[in-house]
Amino acid sequence: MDAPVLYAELHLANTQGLRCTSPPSPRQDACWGSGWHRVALKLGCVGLILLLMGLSVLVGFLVQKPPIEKCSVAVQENKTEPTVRSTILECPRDWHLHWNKCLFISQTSRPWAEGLADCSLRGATLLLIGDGKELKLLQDFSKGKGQQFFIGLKYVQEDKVWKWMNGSILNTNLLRITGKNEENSCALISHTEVFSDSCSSDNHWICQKTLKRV
Amino acid sequence: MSAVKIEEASVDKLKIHLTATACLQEEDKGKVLQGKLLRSISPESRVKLHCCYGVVIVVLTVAVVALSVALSVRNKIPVMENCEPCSATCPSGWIGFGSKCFYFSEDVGNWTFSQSSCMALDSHLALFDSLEELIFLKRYKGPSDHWIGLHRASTKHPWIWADDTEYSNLVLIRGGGQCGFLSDNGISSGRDYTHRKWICNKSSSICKSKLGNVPRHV
Repeated sequence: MDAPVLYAELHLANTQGLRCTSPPSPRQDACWGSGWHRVALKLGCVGLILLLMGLSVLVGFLVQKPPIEKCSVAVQENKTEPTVRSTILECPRDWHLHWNKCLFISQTSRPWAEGLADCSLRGATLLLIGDGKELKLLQDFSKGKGQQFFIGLKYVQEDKVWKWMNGSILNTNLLRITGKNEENSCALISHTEVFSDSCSSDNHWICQKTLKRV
Repeated sequence: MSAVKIEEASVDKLKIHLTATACLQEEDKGKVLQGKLLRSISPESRVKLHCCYGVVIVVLTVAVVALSVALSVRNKIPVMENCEPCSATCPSGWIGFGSKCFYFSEDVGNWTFSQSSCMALDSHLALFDSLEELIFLKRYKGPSDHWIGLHRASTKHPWIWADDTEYSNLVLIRGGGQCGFLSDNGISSGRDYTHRKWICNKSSSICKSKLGNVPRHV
C-alpha cells in the first residue's frame, strides 16, 4: 500500500515542470516593445535638458543690468539753405540771391543796433525794401522760418517819421507799420505784417548788399 | 487480481487530479503576469506619457522664445542714467524736466494769443524756477525766440508771471517791451502785439507727490 503512493507524487512534480515552463516565453518578447520608442525617449530627454539650459541662460541675461545711456535732449539743427548761383552774378558764401541783392539772415537774435553793426562788419546794410513784391517775398520767408526780422527802418522822434537807413522817408503806400510810433521803435518784419518793436528787443535781422558782377 | 486493478485505477485518478490542479495554478500565474505586461504596454498609458513629454517640451520652448524676445526688446530700449523719472508722465508732444512738462509751439502769435493757446491746453505760458531750468529751455528752443510767462503793465511796472506771482529777478530782463521772451541771449522783452513762438508749461500730477525725491538732471 505505501510504495504506490510515493511513486505517484514524484510523477506529478515532473509533469508540472514540463508543461508550465514553455507558454510564457513568447509573451515576454512582446514586453520589450519596438526600438524607435527608446530612441524617441532619449531624444526627448536631451531636448528637455537643452531647453532647461537655455531657460537658465536667458533668465541670467534678464537679471543683469541693461546698458546705460546718458540723457540727451534732441536739439533740432538749423539747415542752411543752398546758395543760389549764376554764371554772371554771384553772392558770397552763406548769402542768398534775391533778384539783384544778396541777403544775409542772422543765426542769432540781438538788439537792432547790434544787427546794424553786424551788417556793417559784413560790408552791408540792414535790409531796405523797394517794392511790394520784395515785401511779400520776405513775409513768406519769415513764415517759413517761424521768425521775425529787424530791417533797416527806424522811427525818428524829431521828425516824427519812419526813415530807411539810406535816409529816405518811408512811403506808407508801400508798407504800413503796425504798432506804436514812438521813440526807440524799429521795424520788424513778420509773416503777415511789419511791426513796430522796441529797438532794444532781441530779434534776428537781415542784411543786404548790392550784387557785384564777377 | 481485481483488488490490484482497483488500486491502480484509483492511483491513476489521483495522478490526473493533482496534475490538473497544478497546471491550473501555473496558468493563473501566467495570466497575472500577462495582465501586468499588458498594462505596462497598454496604449492608454503610452499615450499619456507621450502627452506629458510633449506638453513639457512645448512649455519650455515657449518660455525660451518669450525670454529671448523680452531680452531683445529690452536691449533696444536702454535705461537712461540720470533721466528724470517724471518725464514719462508728460502728455504726448510735451517735454519733461524735473516736475514740469513743457510744450514748444510751432505756430507764432502775439503774447495774448500765446497765453490763450496755453490755457486751452490746461496750462499757461512758461515759468522757470531755477537757472538749470532756464538753461534747459534755452537749449531746447532751437534758433527761434519763444514767448514765456513774464509780462508787465508798462516799462515802469514790475515784472510778473502769467500766474500773477511776482518775478524774483533771477535773471536780468533786457529789451524795452512789456512781454518777456526767451532768446539766444537769455530773457529779452518785446511789445505784446509782435509775433513769436511760445512755451507752455504745466506740472505733472504724479511728479508733484515725488517732488522731494526727484533728482535734478545734470
